[in-house]
Amino acid sequence: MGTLTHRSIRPRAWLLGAALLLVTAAVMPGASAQAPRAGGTLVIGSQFDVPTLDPHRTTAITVAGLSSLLFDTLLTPDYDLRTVGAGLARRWESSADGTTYTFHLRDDVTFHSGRRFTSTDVKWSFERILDPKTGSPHKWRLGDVAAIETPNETTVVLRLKGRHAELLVQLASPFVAIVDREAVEKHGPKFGSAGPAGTGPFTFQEWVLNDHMTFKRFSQYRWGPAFFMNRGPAHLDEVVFRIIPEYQTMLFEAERGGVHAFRGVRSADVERLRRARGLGVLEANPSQQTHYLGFKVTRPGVSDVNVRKAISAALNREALAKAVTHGLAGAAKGIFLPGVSDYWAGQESIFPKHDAVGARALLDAAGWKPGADGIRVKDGHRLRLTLLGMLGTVEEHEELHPLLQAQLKDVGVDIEVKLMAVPAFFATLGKQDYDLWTLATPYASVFELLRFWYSSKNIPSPNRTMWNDPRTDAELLAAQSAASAEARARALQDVQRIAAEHHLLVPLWHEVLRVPTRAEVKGFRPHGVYATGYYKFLDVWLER
Amino acid sequence: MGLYIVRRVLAAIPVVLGVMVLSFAMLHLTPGDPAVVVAGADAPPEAVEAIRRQLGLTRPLPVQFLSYLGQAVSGNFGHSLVSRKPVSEEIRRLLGPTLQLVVAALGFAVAAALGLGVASAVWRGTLLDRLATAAGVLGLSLPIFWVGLMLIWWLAFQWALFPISGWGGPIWTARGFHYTILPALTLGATLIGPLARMTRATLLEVLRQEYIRTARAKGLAEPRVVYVHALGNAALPLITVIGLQFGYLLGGAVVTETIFGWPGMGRTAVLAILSRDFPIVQGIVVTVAVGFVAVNLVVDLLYAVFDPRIRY
Repeated sequence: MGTLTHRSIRPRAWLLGAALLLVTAAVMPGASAQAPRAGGTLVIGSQFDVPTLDPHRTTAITVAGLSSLLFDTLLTPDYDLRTVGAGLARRWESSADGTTYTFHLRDDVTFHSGRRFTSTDVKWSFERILDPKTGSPHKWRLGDVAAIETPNETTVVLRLKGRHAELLVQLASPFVAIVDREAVEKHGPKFGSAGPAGTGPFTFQEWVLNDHMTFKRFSQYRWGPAFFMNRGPAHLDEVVFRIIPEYQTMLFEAERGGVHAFRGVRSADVERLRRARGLGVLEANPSQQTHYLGFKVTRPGVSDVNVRKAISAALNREALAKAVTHGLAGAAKGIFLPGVSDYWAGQESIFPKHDAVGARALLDAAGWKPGADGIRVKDGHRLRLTLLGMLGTVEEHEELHPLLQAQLKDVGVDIEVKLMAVPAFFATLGKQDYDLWTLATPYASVFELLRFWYSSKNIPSPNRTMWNDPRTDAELLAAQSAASAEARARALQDVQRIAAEHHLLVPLWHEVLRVPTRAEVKGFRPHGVYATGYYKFLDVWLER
Repeated sequence: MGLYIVRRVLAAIPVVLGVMVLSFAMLHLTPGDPAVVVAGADAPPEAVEAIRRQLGLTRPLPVQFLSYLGQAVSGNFGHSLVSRKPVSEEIRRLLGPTLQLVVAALGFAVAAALGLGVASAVWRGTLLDRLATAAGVLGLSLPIFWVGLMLIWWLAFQWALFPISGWGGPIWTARGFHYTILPALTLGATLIGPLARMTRATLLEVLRQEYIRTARAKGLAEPRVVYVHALGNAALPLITVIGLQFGYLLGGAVVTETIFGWPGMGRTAVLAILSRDFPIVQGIVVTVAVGFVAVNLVVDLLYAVFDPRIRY
């Protein structure tokens, strides 16, 4: 009795497996023990329309999610955002020197038009991204490409001029999608507004500008990522994106069932919606996006690292985060989510804890002495800084700015807050008229954001800190061409150390992507990729 | 009369031109680049520049304006920077819902205001008069967005009597009518106050006229005196006010349509401003300006209908 034989283990293992499955089904958000039902229209609410449906030409978050419905990518990002799995490529290998990647493609894939997908389509799409005429902001994701070869219909060879350690992660980005060449050629520059077509699980039906967008199930689809229970076709007949600009109306619609899910719920409403009948608030886990306060280091005042450090120390980040997220989040310890690959935990001890006395001492030492009204003055200049913030999109930032203003005034820093709608916000950033700004940018990897923020090549946008440092550039290059994961991590950790020590950004709180979702929506798990939440919808079905 | 109409139409041309110049200048002078909206906030400058070229935004502003003006003369307002469809096609789609909303709101406001105004005038100084005045002032003082959200919360959300938002179709269909009620109530509510006060004041003045006393002395029933003899003559100043309010309603439709997710010009104008879809915004502004001018012309022509003494 005491010895377990191979025979006796089996039923127990089976039972254990079944129990685990049940527990998983019970705790997984949106998971359900019921058999999926085919049919129905999923209605997603959205406050704003997208600028295009051409994934190659935009970095808009909202487009990434829609892109995953219409198009596929060579590789796919698992829910954990760490594992890159098969997509249109079944398998792949790289050469020892890391400059040649060979992708073996599926041979059972067709475009929405019915045309068979082959290696030439991959080559064509990648060359479209690389073509300067396309104006694609995603060129860098492919690395420094020397040649794209198609030895046969199911093989693509990507030859790079140097290593690109990021390549596999970036090939899973919804922006590096394979588009239908014939559709692009048919619609020319209008592609994306008209006729977006690929090999994705849904086909494009209609886009009524600023009103709604309809996608229909692609019934031939069988090649979904392995992390979905259903590889295709989708259970849903249709997905409709409804534009409802007014946030309160969106809440009413969600509670009454006029929309099944929406992104952009404000922290203040999360608890109430969690308790609302027929509604739940699902979370993307992990969500890779951190809110931060940035310094433009070329501006007088904040060009001094001690002033930046003082501002960072003057902020009670824990209280700020708790207040604006209504208790949903505490202060971010680092600028990235702890646990993501290449994260350097050492930064946590560099970002100062709240210390108003220390902040005042730092400002004193930097020569900024309190003036008659308490605002600090140096060489006749007041320490008055312009903070740019977005209006009408991130409610938490609108609540943040007055608190931040008050905390900094307490140490003698006068903050002028300029709030503007999104286009004006980015236009003003582009005009260089700011000292500080608040923002949150989603990322697929630590490298991606470090390169965005600190590479001198990205000045003035998206490197808005204007950080121009040869060592940082060298480390970013070293990370990109690293031969091993360790070497790459070392280089990236060094960039994080440099950035933290120079107090270029102040981490505020980690964003958790929350999607209020109706109870009748089953099998839905928000995907954290590029903070979209929506990814292919293959497992999603609607209970009657 | 034909000559009069031609003169008025000619006089409207500089007005519309002025609106075009102003809207073009204001849109292009406010910060925000359509190419950045399309390419995304994190796009590098060279990508933004390529998109700007594709959208035809690299030419100098005066050249862009002249080309816009030249095309507009032939009825071509360009293409939406987002949908890439002709602006005229988009406006045609948006015009119906906006007109439906404005006309329904106006109809509701006029009906309510006439009822309240007449009652106030006839029973002047009574509790009813005071209540009607208070209701009118309340309707005027409450902001549209608040009225809209409260109506949604109360009648659509709590009581589920109406849909919360969206478009149900033309008003002559049952579904369309159902979807139009709340937005029309919201938009019309602000008009009731001033219209009712105007009706009351004009009617009181008319009711003091000699011919009314004569009508009563003839032994005519009071309703006939009020509705036929008095109200007919009080209509002229009312029509002027209603005509002017039409333009105001087009402005109010921006807020109402946004709250109710109504697929008209108002909501589209807001979203197009946010996405810097300049051609759409310009198309809407010009359409509203032309509509305003046209309504004023119609009002002037209506004077002749209501007052036989007026001849053009």
